Amino acid sequence: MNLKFSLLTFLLGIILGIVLHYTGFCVYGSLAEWISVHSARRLVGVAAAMLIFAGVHFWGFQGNISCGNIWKGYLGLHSFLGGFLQGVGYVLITACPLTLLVRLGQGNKLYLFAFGGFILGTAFFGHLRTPLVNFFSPFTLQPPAGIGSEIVTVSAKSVPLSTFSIPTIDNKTFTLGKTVSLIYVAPECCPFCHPEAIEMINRLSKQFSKKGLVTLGIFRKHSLNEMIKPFIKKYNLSWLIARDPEFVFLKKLGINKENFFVVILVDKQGKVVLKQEDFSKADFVKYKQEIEKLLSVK
Amino acid sequence: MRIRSSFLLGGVVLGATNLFFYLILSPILFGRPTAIALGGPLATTLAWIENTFLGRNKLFSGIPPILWTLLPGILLGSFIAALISKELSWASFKKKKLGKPQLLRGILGGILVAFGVLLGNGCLIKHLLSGIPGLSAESLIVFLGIVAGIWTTLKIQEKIQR
Repeated sequence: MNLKFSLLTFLLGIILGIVLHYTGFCVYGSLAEWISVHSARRLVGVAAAMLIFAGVHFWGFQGNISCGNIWKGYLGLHSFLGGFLQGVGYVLITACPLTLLVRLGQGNKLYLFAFGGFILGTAFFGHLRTPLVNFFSPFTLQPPAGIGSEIVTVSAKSVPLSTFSIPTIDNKTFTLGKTVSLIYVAPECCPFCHPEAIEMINRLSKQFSKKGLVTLGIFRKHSLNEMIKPFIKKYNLSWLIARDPEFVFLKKLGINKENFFVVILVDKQGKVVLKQEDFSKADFVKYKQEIEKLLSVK
Repeated sequence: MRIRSSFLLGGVVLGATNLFFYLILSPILFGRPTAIALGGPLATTLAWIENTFLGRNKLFSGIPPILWTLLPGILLGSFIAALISKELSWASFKKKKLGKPQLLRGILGGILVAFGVLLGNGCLIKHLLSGIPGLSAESLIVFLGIVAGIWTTLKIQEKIQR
């Protein structure tokens, strides 16, 4: 963690808290006033905030702020319903999460209970995650992967193996096709968000490394010191680790920016045998069987 | 002291903070540009706490850096401002007795906000102030859902109060 920039962000938060207290600016309040009494006077602040942020386009930004979570940014019924439920919640607590924080800071008792409700809501959602994903899968434009996810078999035979090399962070070179390889591609925004999957991949790595399995973790634009090294330390990884911020290697494996985390199994000929997003316990068994099969081939 | 009708100032500061955070701070803190989001990181952290101590919530793991930097800053900033302007509510904590309906409403509202934020992949701040200007179709759909939710609940409230 960069202490200087963390402190700067903290100071920015203090300034924001002070300004929001004195101005009484509230995004939810602006919307509610517009909806209930058709007054747009407070929306001017919302419009200003939106217009300023639209400035990202001047720096070459090309759309979609969404950061992968269980839905991986896929559109669907859950998007509207999620919005609807939080809309109802905003009216009940008369605040959005930003105002909730400001009111907590102001010492408002009601918001302690709202915060308690927030904790309960998070717990409920965590426990209902799998049935929810199953329920909403038919109503998404692209079903969330991992739940009955498909095994995509992609032939890589037509591409010369020499082009499938990537330097690792410890100055080694990983070349696809020399060994049976298990490749973990970290998601764009949150490499720490799926500990169970990492642990399962690590178990496969440890179990089969002596028999010839090579495990490679590929990160995208993640910072080496702030993200990658803590990640290696947290999971005690002995994998090869590489960075591919420009998607040079990843594109050859058919990975694009929209993909969440992807686990790929490649045979000694450089052919992609299994490739899928997300990683469940069922996938662990499937990958294990396939690795055993591939390693037994002389 | 409160700068009345200065919603424009509030919006400008919030928008500028968001842009500064996205372009300058988050690439250093997160390793990639990230817009300000509040509900999601808060829920992620709560899930992490539950998972760490009770081992049950398998939603996410890890505390996003925004949670120990920007969010405590907002809490402290509003606390300082309320203290200076003598609007701090703790002083009248005992006098302000809240009824059961209000407390239940607060808890239920909190549950719905957390559930909706996780289902909708982010809160109003993220979708309206960053997602829509960032041309995210998902954010537009979630925002329409939020407006529908606010509109429906306000109408029901109006009918009950009549």
